[in-house]
Amino acid sequence: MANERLCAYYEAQRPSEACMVRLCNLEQKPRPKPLILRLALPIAAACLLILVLVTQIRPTPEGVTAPLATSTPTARETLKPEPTPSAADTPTQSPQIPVATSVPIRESPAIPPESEGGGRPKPSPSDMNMGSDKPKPEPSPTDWWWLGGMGGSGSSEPPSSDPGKEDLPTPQMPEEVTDITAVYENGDLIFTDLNTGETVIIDMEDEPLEPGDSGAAGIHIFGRDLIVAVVVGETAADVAVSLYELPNLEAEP
Amino acid sequence: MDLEFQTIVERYSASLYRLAYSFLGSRQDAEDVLQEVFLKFLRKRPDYAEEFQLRAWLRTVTANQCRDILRSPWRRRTLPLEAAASEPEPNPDPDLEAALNQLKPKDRAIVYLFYYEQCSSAEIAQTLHMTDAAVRSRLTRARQTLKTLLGGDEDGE
Repeated sequence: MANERLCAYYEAQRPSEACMVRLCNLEQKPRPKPLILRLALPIAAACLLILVLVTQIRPTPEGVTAPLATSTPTARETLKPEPTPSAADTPTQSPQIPVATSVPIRESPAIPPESEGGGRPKPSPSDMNMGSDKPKPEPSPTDWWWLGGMGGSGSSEPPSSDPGKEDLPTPQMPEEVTDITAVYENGDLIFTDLNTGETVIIDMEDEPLEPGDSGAAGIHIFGRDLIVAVVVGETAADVAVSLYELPNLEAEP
Repeated sequence: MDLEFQTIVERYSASLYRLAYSFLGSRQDAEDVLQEVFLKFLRKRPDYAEEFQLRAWLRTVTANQCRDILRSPWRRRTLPLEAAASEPEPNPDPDLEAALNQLKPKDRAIVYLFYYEQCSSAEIAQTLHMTDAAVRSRLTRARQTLKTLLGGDEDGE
């Protein structure tokens, strides 16, 4: 009797229909995780990677980003800022940045006093092969090459050397004729052949020599082609005349 | 033994629910325990050669789950509210239910397993992790309590 009452009581107890449906659906595949849970791991990994990169690529005090840490040094060793060079530092203490030192300047030759303030010293006229600054040579009967043109009163300036004509052959000094003499007297140039005693007089009245004149000209006397060089001194009476053999230009190469 | 999950649910859900309800006295908690037991079954997939072994495993898991809920401080704190909100169990015998609620949860489970499931004291002891003597002692005390509450004619046998 008591057992029947208890069995009737327990028999009436059953799970609800909703509970049975849930139990039967338990075997189905579990619901996919929410999107935030599925993305949580990749997002966390990306954030960690970014954090590591930001930690390693720190700007150095000079504003230059340090390179990524390689396998050889550690990240902190690579990113360790270099000490700021002080004024007492020598160039050898910072070999990475070569700095122009004052050593070459101190070793350079001293600037000549005349060139101070003018930068590079001027080369000497001889170095430049220019005759502009060359002092005028003393007139000499032997300096035939700078004599003026024919007529005696030509230019007294020596011919300026042309740097562009350095390849020209240097003219040879003609030999002075010693068997013929010449004098300038009373406006006449008198030539005398010492061997024969023959004399030739050239009237210079049309072109009288003036003090300081100098010049050379070709002349054909005594059956010879000669060069007559005339240099007038401070006075018209101070005249020096020299005769030279005319060089054979055709024999020159 | 290779039974479909739905077959197992249909075969054991009512029995396990009654056991859980005997422990907990709450329809909602009993259904939660039932769901948790079958989830464990799906996770472990115990493979027993005999069906009684599977039944014993399911009962043991249900009893353990109920014990865990009874130990939970959260359930002890929220029990009055949940009891008020839960759907009332269809009760054909309110006096008997009132008398059963006077017993301890474990004593209610022993009464259910002994009188309805026809389990021996040894099976009950194995399911509830008790000794056989303790099961018989508890069963005697529960019978006397129900006899007192329900009248002299209820002997429990």
